[in-house]
Amino acid sequence: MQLDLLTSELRKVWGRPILELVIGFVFLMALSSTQTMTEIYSLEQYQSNFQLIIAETLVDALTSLTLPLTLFCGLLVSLSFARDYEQGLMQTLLSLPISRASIFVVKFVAVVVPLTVIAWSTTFFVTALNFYSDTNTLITVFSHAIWALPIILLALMFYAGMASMISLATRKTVPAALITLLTSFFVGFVSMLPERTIGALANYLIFTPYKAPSVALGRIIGMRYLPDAIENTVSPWVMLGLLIFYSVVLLVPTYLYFTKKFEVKE
Amino acid sequence: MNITRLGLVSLIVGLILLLNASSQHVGLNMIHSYGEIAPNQTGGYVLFMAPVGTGNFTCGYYRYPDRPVSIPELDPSLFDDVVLPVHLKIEDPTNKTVFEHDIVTPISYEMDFNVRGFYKIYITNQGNETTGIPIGLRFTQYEPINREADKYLLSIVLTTFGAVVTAVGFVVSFVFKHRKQRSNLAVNSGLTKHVMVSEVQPWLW
Repeated sequence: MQLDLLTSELRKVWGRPILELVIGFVFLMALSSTQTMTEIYSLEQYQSNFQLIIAETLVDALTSLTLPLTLFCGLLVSLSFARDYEQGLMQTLLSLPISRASIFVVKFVAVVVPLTVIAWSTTFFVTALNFYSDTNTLITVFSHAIWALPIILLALMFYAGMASMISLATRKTVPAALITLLTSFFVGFVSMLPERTIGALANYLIFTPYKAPSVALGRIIGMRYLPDAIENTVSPWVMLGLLIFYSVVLLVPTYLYFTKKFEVKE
Repeated sequence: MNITRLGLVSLIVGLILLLNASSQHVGLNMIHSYGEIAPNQTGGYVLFMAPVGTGNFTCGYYRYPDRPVSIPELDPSLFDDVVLPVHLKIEDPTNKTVFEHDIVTPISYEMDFNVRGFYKIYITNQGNETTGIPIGLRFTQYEPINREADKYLLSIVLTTFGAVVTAVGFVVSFVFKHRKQRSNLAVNSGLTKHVMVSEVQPWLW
């Protein structure tokens, strides 16, 4: 039953032309973050420099994907939850012999998992295309890129949690989508404020949900930051822990709100 | 995912890659120097290159003659060319030697970067003093030939595959729909006949 629900939800969310648009846009953004390889290294250090530039490319790709992923995730979750409420489909779903928890998980998984797969495979494809010269380089790229998979998943869980919370609060497709878009833009804009605008506070923006994924990935795969950058002082596992916290901080209240039938009590 | 959607995805990805790969993105003038090389010692560099076609590999230039360095605070002699006899060896990514000669720097050598990978440069100082030996790469501006050949080829393959598969998908779905319509019509007309016969049956009997 849950599998049928998941299949129909996947068909509904990823119907034509959503999948094509998402793949195209994500691929365009990831590709624009790479550059043609014409690098000169010293013979002694070329392996470490090569790994460093792979790490930089992956982090750049993830950074450039942050805003589109936020927008797509927000929009798709809004469409999934709010449209069902608006069209009365949610009442039909809730009358089926399936738990509310299953409906929530199915709706969540139907957006987050395919988007994670698209984002990660695009990032890996673009990076591998740029650095592929033999099997060893492909393995090196893969061993770096595999870390991006959990990080993208955790980041998307935060965005989806935020969007599902907004959708459940509004229960209207257009307002939910608009509020999600505006919130994403606002938080994204605040996270990108430079030091000349907000002073030393700008250094701590790496802990925001928008910058934390790329910093976590950079720290894990050994990206080199400026010597006095705050990124060097933070452990990669602390950043990963922070990402796990972000991924559940909005999701758990939204899940509880949905499963405890608060809207029925209202 | 049906065949039309697979084709559309391939077409979109191919077109985006085609737009990206059909233009030139190589750095036009690069010069690097790592450390110094003592007499009779060999220093090495590695170029990681995309297959961007023909470009000029230079050795011994701290600045190119047609691109003077104009930083007033710096002593211009810092950018003097290195004049030195050296033994230069260049290996392509398949470890094949493409250049091996005794030369006097500075020189510019036209190289064909037709494979993606590591090009290894070995420079043996045959002079009498320890010195840094800079190497560089130069490409002509806006030359379509300096696009990434493998990405360009892949983009054409993906675009063609996508276009063909999408077209086939549309044709198949059109034919399928048309046949379905015809079979529906046939079923409908059969039903009508059946109804008519059944209606007429008592009269026949």
